Amino acid sequence: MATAPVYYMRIEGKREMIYRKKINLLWLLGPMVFIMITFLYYPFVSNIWNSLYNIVGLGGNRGEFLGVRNYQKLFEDPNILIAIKNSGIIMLLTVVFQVGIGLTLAILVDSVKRFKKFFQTVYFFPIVISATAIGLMFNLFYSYYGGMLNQILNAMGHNPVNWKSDSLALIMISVPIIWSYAGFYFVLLLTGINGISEDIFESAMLDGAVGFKKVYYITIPLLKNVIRTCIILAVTGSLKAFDLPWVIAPKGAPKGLTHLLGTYMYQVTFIEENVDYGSAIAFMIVVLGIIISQITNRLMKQEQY
Amino acid sequence: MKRVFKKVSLLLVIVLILGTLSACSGGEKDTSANQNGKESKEADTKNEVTKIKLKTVSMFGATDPALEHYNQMIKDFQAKYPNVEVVDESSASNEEWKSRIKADFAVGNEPDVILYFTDANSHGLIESGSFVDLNTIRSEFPDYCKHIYEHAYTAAPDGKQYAIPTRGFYEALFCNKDLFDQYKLELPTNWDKLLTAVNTFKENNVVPFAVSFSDVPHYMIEHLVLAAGGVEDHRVVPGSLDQIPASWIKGMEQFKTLSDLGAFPVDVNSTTDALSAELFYNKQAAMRVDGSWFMGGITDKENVVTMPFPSMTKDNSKDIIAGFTSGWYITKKAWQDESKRQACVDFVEMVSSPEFLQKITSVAPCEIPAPENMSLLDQTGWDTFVNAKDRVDLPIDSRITGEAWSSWLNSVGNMVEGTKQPKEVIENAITIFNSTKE
Repeated sequence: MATAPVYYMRIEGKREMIYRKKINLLWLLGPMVFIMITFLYYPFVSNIWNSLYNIVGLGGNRGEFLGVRNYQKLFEDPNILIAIKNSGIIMLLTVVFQVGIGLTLAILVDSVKRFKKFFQTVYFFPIVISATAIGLMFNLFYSYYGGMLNQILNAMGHNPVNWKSDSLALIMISVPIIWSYAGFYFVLLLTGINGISEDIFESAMLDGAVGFKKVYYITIPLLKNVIRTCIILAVTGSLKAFDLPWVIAPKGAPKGLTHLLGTYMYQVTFIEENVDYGSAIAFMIVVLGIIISQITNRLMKQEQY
Repeated sequence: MKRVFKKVSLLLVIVLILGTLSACSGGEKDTSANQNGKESKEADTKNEVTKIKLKTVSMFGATDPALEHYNQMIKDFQAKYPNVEVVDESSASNEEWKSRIKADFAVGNEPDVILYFTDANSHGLIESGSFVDLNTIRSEFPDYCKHIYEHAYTAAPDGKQYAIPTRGFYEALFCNKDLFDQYKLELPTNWDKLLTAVNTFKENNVVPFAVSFSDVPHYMIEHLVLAAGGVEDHRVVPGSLDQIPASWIKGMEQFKTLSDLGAFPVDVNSTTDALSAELFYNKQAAMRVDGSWFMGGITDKENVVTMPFPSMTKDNSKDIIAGFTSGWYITKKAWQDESKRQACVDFVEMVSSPEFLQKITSVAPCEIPAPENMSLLDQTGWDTFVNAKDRVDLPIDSRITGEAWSSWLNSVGNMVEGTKQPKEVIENAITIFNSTKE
């Protein structure tokens, strides 16, 4: 008689066997594999294939076989260099400030006794606002004519500033990115701090580790794995940055100087309709993402406690 | 015990499923008790079966005054044809909208009827057989939109006509006349008057031109070419670099000339089109080059005028960018669905009827009565279009490929600052155009 899968755990052993009948695993895992193949791996392979042919217009058919010509173009296109450089800067700023601010806030909030929930809500709130709304809001802050920042400068008797000038634009784009995601890392890190046993803090206190010493010698070392996860998320997330930068500085404004890899790929594919070259850029982003996350993984090895 | 529990659970699940299924079909059984009720149910079911869902897409954006009339027309249409349910998706057209539409067609998610461009933007979709041509439609519906002027149609590259034009457009110079009056300036009917106005406004901390080169530099490009060479040069489609009119380069050189005079906002290379439009609406800027659709957002209709962009070579130029670059298409997918054919035709007939067009446009492709009690803005707009007569041309991007046009658009900021030379920019665009046009 067919019965429901019987599962058991060998508590004393390291290996665990969940299902005795493997066929049931197929039923459970199969649909997800199918979905992944249909919506991720097939388009990914198709994208690589597209990058080798000439495709005119969105939805156009594959035309002349170009081979690696689009990949050669990547090395000749000055905008790619700008996009890689800007993505690198955003990545650095994200890691340092998003994770840094998140960590600082988490340590501070953990040390307060009252209003903990209030601070958690306040710092997490920007995450739930749509990137488009944040982008539009910051555009109003940055506007040269009557923008909030220039109104403040004006009230203080200073001349207005072009906040999205060539030299400032990238920094101004990174501010809302950092602001909106710092709360996310704050929640992750606060959860990590809450997971540290109170006994450790108590014995550290008896040994005289309080205040900054407690943070430096106890909290941060024990949070290393969470910080590592946060950094990997921040690094890979910054490679995919698109929505906020596109709203604040459409088409890499000014003059394409603020293009990130995501925005440039979008512009080439969907605005200029150069689908084959856009596919090559998309593939390059994936390759860069894999390389960078591997490097991050190696640099920050998981520690067992 | 466990086995008994499992059997009971299984039994309960089976009973639950059977109960749900019988509840679903139970309605029909109940109606047998009441004959009238049964008839009414059957009628409802029949309606549901024959109700046609017509998916429509238009370019009537939120600030477009036509949107309200269009929405009302959809209600009237559904009242007239109760078996048709219109599922409409309207949005202002921009580069992203165009991309989304093309992507929808690419994945087979196209609408049944769509108001879309008739210029180069549609050529890819036409070549891929997305639309049904007018001859095919008229072979079954001989009187289909026969009231539209023949000259208003646009032929596709294959020589066939696909779209029913409904609302034309013109682009012109919008001036805050009250600001011109305040600084005792004449409206810029020639190039010298324009330069005088730019200098005076700049001295008085009024932004001369409300424009964003990072977002929508299109109109400024068009009109500087037009100013330098008139419609004759504007119409040229250079097949090679030596066919580029000298006036195109001269026109593009005015970006730097005007920028040096302070004609543009300080953040012209980074602001958005919406924010630059606000400068004009709020009277912080004196002039703006835009299309007839821009009128919808202007509230001060008695102090704003439209006029042709001044020429660099003559006084009182009448040359404008205008035409019918959009029209209603019936998609092939909808046409092949015989149950939808009639509904598609009826919808396009209604949306192109003179009664409806009169409400949404003064630039119609058929005879409509002149609007009454026009504001100063509307009157000057009407005059601009009517006086132009044949001195009109379609935008340059209606003829060149997206990649070529994008390279031109993306270089405007550099031309303004003098870091790229106009000749180099235009030659690059034309080289891309000639290498990508097939």
